[in-house]
Amino acid sequence: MRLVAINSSIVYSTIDDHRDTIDKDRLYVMPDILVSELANVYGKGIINKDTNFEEVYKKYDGSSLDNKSLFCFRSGGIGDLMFMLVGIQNVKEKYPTCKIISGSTRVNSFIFKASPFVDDIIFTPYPYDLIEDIDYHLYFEGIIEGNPLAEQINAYDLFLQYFNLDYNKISGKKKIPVMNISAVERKYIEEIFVRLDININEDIIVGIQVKTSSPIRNYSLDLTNKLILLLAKRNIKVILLGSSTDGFDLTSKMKNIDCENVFDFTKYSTSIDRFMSIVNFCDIVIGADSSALHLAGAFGKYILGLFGAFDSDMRLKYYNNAIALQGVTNCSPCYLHGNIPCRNSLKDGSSACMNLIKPELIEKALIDKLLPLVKKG
Amino acid sequence: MKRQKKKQKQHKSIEKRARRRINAAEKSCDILKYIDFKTFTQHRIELAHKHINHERVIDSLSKNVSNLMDITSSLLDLISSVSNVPSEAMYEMFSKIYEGKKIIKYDGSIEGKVVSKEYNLKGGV
Repeated sequence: MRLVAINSSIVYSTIDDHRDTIDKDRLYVMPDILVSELANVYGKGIINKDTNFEEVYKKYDGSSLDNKSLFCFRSGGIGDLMFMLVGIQNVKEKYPTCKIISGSTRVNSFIFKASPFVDDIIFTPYPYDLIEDIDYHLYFEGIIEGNPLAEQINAYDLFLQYFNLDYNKISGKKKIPVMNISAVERKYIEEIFVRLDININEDIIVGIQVKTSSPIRNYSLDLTNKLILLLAKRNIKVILLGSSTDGFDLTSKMKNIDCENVFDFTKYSTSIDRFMSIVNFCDIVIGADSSALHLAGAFGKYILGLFGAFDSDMRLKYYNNAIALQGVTNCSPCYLHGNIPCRNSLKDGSSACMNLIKPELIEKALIDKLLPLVKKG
Repeated sequence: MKRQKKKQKQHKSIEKRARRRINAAEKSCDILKYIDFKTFTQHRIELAHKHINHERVIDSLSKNVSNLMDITSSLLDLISSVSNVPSEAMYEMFSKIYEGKKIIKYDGSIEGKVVSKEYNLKGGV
């Protein structure tokens, strides 16, 4: 993290088409990658002040937060922010008078907006004048990636530990994020279900998340196609989960996207709160280690997780009604992160460990263990 | 005549590039560069056949543990095609050296198992 000021105002578009401004001569806390991007696009001369954030970082040391304020931030994905959320709600319970301010990208901020424990949100890049008067800071970069503890301790416990809380003294129930769905978005998504002739009170709705943020954790598209066919034949309403940007990829690669009982809901996930509402309408969520599984866990849905690179204990341990199918090879779990396929990936880029989990096996686990528990119809 | 000369010149440049690639693969002991031969035309494969020091490449490969995990039957077939060693024999040789690190079986299937785990399964959500 850097503390940076630039010598000319910049207006830029965010991923959700919002226009943000970085003001001239105003100090901002921003990730190193954004600083180098600015230098690459506008030239090094644009940066007129650049120091390490550590110089002004007031790291929370576990002292009393009564009538104090705490700024927590991370630039990771939805799952990571949810791990953070559990820490926030336990801090708030311990120190109800503490003001909690969260920091994230504008797009991901819906995760914090859904939490009743977050008092305020600041979007990245964080203006330093907004955070310099806050009593304590906590930033979570590198807590999962490259941390050997992340291979032994559940992600929620790891974040609780970072908040200086003793995770052994906190019950499993309090390690599930509390999140509220926006009534407006819920109504919007409900209308789509009605339009598509899916009866939310009677039909069994299974959501399948097709893509994760890393190809190492992805379940292959071919196998997902087979799984979709197997479930659709059983008269289960299969809805595809993912961001609206995944949709472009999916429609070209997934052959069964238009068949009966299969519905592509990625096109309706134009924001994270809509995505959350869609997951909330599912009875069961199937997917690799990614956002939909964690949201399903938070909303108390049945979970069928597909794991390879990570041990499912590190992610699903505290959720209710969860099953994991873990592909175990000589190289897994490897706890690898990144945007490129692992060295043992197959031709389509999916990891060997994930390819061990056959669609028939997923179908069997679903039919034998989860479907009998779903009370519908 | 002019066209023939131009063709000869092009041919020489292809040979030069192929030789450079072969040398790079041998020197860096990098199996991934060796895989690049897959994209070679028949002419280049023949050329590689002529110039490559197969023993040296196989020796380099067997010393490079991490890259050996990339070995799949198709890759073995490829190496076999330029080294004249039967791919099955080569697979056996590699798996003996790196026992316990085998991920992909010779037939292309994956070595491993699926473990099922349950978390707080009680129904009535």
